[in-house]
Amino acid sequence: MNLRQTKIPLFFLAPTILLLTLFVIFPVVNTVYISFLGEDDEFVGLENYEDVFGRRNFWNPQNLVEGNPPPYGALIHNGIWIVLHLPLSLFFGLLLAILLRDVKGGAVIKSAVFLGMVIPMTVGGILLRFVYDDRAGILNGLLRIVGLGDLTRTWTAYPQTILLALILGTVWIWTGFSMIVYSAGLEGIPKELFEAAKIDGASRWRTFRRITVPMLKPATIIVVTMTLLWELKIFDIVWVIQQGGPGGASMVMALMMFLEAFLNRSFGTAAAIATMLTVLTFGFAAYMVYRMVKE
Amino acid sequence: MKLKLPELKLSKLKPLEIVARLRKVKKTTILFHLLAWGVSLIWILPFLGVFMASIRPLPEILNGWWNFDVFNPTLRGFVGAWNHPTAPLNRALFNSLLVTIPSTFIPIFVAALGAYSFARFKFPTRDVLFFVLVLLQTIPQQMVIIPIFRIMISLGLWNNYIGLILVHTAFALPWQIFFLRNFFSTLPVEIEEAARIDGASYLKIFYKIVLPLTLPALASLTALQFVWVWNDFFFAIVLISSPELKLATQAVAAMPGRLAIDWTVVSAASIMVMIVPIVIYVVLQRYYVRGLVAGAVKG
Amino acid sequence: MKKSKALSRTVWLAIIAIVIILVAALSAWYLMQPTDEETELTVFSLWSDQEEANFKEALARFTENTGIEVNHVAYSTTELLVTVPTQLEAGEAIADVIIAPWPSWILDLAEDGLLADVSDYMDTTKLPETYLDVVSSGDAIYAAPFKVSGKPGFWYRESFFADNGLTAPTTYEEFKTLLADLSEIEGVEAAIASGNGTGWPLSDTTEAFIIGLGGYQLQENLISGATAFTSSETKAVFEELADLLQADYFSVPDDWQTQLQRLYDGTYGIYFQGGFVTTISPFSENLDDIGFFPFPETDGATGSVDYAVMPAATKNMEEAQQLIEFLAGAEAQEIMVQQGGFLAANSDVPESAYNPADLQVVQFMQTVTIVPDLDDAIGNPFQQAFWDQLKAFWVNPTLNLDTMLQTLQDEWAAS
Repeated sequence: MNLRQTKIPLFFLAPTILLLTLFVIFPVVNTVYISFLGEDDEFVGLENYEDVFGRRNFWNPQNLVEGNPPPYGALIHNGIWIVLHLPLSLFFGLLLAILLRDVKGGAVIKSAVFLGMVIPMTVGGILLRFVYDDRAGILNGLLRIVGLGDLTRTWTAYPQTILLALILGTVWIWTGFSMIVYSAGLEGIPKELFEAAKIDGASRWRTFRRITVPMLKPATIIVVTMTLLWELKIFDIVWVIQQGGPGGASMVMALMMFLEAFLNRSFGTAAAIATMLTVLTFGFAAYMVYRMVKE
Repeated sequence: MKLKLPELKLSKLKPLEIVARLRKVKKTTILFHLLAWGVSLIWILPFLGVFMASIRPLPEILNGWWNFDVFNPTLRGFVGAWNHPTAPLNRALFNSLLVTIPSTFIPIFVAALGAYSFARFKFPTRDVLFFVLVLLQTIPQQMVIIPIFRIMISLGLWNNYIGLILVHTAFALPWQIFFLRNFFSTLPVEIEEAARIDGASYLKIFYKIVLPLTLPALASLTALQFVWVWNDFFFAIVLISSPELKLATQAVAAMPGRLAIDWTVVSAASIMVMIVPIVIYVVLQRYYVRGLVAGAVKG
Repeated sequence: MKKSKALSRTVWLAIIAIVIILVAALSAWYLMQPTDEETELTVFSLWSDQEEANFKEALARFTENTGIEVNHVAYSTTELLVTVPTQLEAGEAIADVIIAPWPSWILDLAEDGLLADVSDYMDTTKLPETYLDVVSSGDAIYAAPFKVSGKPGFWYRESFFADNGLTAPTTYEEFKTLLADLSEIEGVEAAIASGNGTGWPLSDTTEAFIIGLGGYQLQENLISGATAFTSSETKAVFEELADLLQADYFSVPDDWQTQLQRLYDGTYGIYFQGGFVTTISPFSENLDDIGFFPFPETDGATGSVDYAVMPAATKNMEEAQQLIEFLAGAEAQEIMVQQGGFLAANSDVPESAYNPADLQVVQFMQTVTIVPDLDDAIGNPFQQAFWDQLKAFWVNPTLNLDTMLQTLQDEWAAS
């Protein structure tokens, strides 16, 4: 249907344009601008960025290189999150999607696994704190049963273990997402391909590698991109448990940005962190966005 | 929630044949099923734990909620959370509803209008605008919060639900428009064109023809947006500050105290706060999943 | 036929949605209306549970005297640090009075014009100068000292010492002998208990050494910057600490409250803590068996002060001023003190108001120069870094001291 008058779409589009400009587009540009301003709103160029990188709370690779326990700085923490959480969630999601395909009650199980995605992340943080608690937590309960009672502690109370504990906890939360997307992806693979492979005598592993994996590429792109974006934006969980502690061992970029802005009232540095976060986000999402726009 | 059970067509078989069928179930299948159900049990454990903790007294929980030697269920947790001194859920849950419902329905209206324009009209800058829209879906909340904070203050809408609702609406538009525009593209244009020829206005066509056909897509948007807004924490903590205006996510986050955590109360609170999005998800599951998978960029 | 069915469905949906939105909007508007005519003051503080209950008693007396209702809201440290500046920055004071123990944070906000000058609402002759100086700028005083938490020294169980033939040391050499003796006792895991938490138990202990070995002047100089963290004076203190840590005299840091129980049970010999521990079990129930000795030969002690501040934008100016006046006065402080664990800032509060254990603390504090808590006075980002560094230092005392001290110096400069 082609346009007759330009008036109509404007009316249809006006509220959208108004809201987006005021609350999304302008703020994005404004934040970048603020990141170049100093204490008294004077232009300071890249000073805020340099300042942020000089903070051990944000960038402390020395600690990592020396083999010490965290903190390594928010940027590195997000990086570790990505390195561990992404492959694990992908793997478990795909595994569950395949496993539960032909199981009786598979739909119920999938819903159960997906619950982690539906709850508020503040509650998610509380659940993780609960699981890791010294006395009330199942993890320690299990350790005691298996005879490893000496190892028990509140895992989220120590700088050495909190980051890892939270990352694994978020795998539990996020696997539901990759599972659902892969499930949909699997359903989308035409049955004939599998039947043909069977007739040709292909092994299950071969079928998996040559048919399933390539056919799941679109799903994988979605899962990888969304997971990366989520890992960059972790906030609620870390806030609820230790607000970035203990000793900064669970500090992440989103939280650091928030504390800079609303605790230290240093909007310039906060904006710098936010801008860096967004640049990373764009970088990671670029491929998916490109594909979305192609249609 | 649909339980898809494979058809065994047992009713049509004679008793002996039933037995034969069952015996045919391979060992690997049973193992498979055990594995699958085992995994689901592991996944559900934390929820089970939190539920148990919410109805048991603190000493029992500290002994391990999986121990049932002493079992004295209590409602103290729920009462305590409901009337919590610093973060009472009686207010907070209501507050969250007050924010979530408008934040769910308003964007749908705005997005539907917008998406329709992109789907049906050609106008200058359309493709550029759409590209921008796609990009905007990925913007993190942190990128916009400082200017929004300041804008709300100047508009007098800081610490005010209207401000929060506006922000949620704006934030929802990119992905909702993207989603709906794709959906509209699948609707055959002929009906609308016919109505146009009959002299109907664009608005009429939109409301009387297109919208009814879009209901499933709207259901997806409703499900996803409701859960997203209810679960939001970041916008809430910056924009809502008065203790009596706090939302459920803020209330529950404030509960674990500095010292020992009162798990009975905190667990009960967690359940009360998460039950709402879970119910929405269960009731609208089909639409929720469809929306999520169909390239919905909202995580 | 299909069309009309589709029509009514849309119409229904639209109606329902509009109704819901209207109801929501109306209720929101309704709730947003200012409540009753009676002014009710809102106070924010860090106190919850027992501390809150104690504070509420003082507030109840205020309401009795003035008829003004006070609503108290408790916050965690990080929440308060975030909530208050956000509100003040937004130009809206949701709290009329805020109680906080961080002088540098207070001055920071005051310098940006966000807090009101409260010098007119208290009798400055009755309040210690050192407490007022850290929250003053020019002639204006921005906070009223309310409650003082003294950090008097190392607490121990008197019967435990008696049973093991130990006495409180009066010199540093005797102190080191004591540590060695304690380590030999069966059942004692470590001579000195180390507390964990956000980090303040370790910083309290460290400051005791700074003041004890370097003098109260060193602490004051570190705060003001007259002495650098990298100076040989400061390094000497940390080297001594490192020696003691390496000799395993300190326990592994654990939840500071649990350590109290462990001290009482004989797992540890002594524990450096603030005076407020006399309100916490098991100390609170065994005040006769509990004692402390100050850091041997020390000439100072940290007093952490809880200040009451008033936002410049408060809507209930007059009533808030009355509350500030009340809190800075002897009446309110006497009520607080009677509940134990704290000292009053106001000198008019009689000694009779204190229980014997607290009285010991009061009397000790009167013999030394009271200095502000190091990290509270310097503020963030130093405070976070300080706690962070100490936690690492405690579990790894052989780390490079120069690097650590340089970091502290850098963070001081950034604060």
